[in-house]
Amino acid sequence: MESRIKELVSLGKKGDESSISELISMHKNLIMGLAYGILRDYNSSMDILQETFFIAFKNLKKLKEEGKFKSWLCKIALNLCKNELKRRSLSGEFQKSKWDFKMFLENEKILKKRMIIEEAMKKLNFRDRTVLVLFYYKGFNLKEISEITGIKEKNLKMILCRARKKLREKLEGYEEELLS
Amino acid sequence: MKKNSCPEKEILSLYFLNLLEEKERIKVEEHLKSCEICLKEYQIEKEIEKNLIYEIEMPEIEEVLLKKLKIYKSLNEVSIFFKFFKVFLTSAAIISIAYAFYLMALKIEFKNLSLFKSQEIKSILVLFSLYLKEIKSFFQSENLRLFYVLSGVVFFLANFFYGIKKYFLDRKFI
Repeated sequence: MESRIKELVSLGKKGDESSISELISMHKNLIMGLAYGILRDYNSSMDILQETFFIAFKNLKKLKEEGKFKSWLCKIALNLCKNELKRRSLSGEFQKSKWDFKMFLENEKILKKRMIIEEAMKKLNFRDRTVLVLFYYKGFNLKEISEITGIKEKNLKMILCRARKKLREKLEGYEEELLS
Repeated sequence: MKKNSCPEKEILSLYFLNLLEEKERIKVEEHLKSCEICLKEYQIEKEIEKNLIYEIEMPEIEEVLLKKLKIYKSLNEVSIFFKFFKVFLTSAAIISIAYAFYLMALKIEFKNLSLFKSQEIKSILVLFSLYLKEIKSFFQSENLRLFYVLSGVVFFLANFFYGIKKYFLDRKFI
């Protein structure tokens, strides 16, 4: 898998279009999950998805270690998310965005649970959100998270624990609905 | 040791995050069988884990992105001649600015000092004009003028060859 990514990246540096489109289709779910997990807004996370790939392939020649393509992409996406959150907090747009995922779901119970967790996640700060989302996303271990976020591995455990605790505190009073 | 004593909160949360070592993990698992409060906490944690991240239907974005990249590349592709021309322009601009400063230093004189009424400004200007005269005498010796022009030419050549080298390096190795 990783050797395949390396091949594709080195081909993409030369300008091969099919390898670029393959790279996009390999990673788009990952980036979308990340952006949606942090921003909790479908439309703006779609924008960020497009922008990350655009920036990444624009600057592909600057990437020297081809094995780190995945974490590099994640870094770009996280920075864009950070900017977006900053922009929202400046313009006060944050409370307007509501649950856009309704259209992808039919089961009402799951929808209610997700809404509750959504509200709780919105109250966390950027670092806690990113750490939680990265950790619960498949295919990331502690080492990779520390590579992406720049937090040392020693501190990462504590930060994760605290973020989880904060999320749990925000969910107090909703336990029965979650377990139903 | 009491049997029913719950493990510490930190250890529990580490267990929920699946970061514990095997020995402690087995301990916590045995405890979970007997303790209802911790079991409830564990179930809540699992629910959070399930609903925190979920897959979203993705539209196809590959074609749109490729189109965008193509347009960007077509806008930013620069021919060889333009690159050399750019290097030439920058060095020429630097030389011409330097020459303009040189001419300014020769020509400026403050003759109409009577226009300024306050004495402080006058004194500052007089000092400045004295300073300019010194600069003038410094530049009027011919050896220095030669040195000035030569350094400009050397700078231009260095910039030029650097541009050529960088262009070919870009092509080969990166």
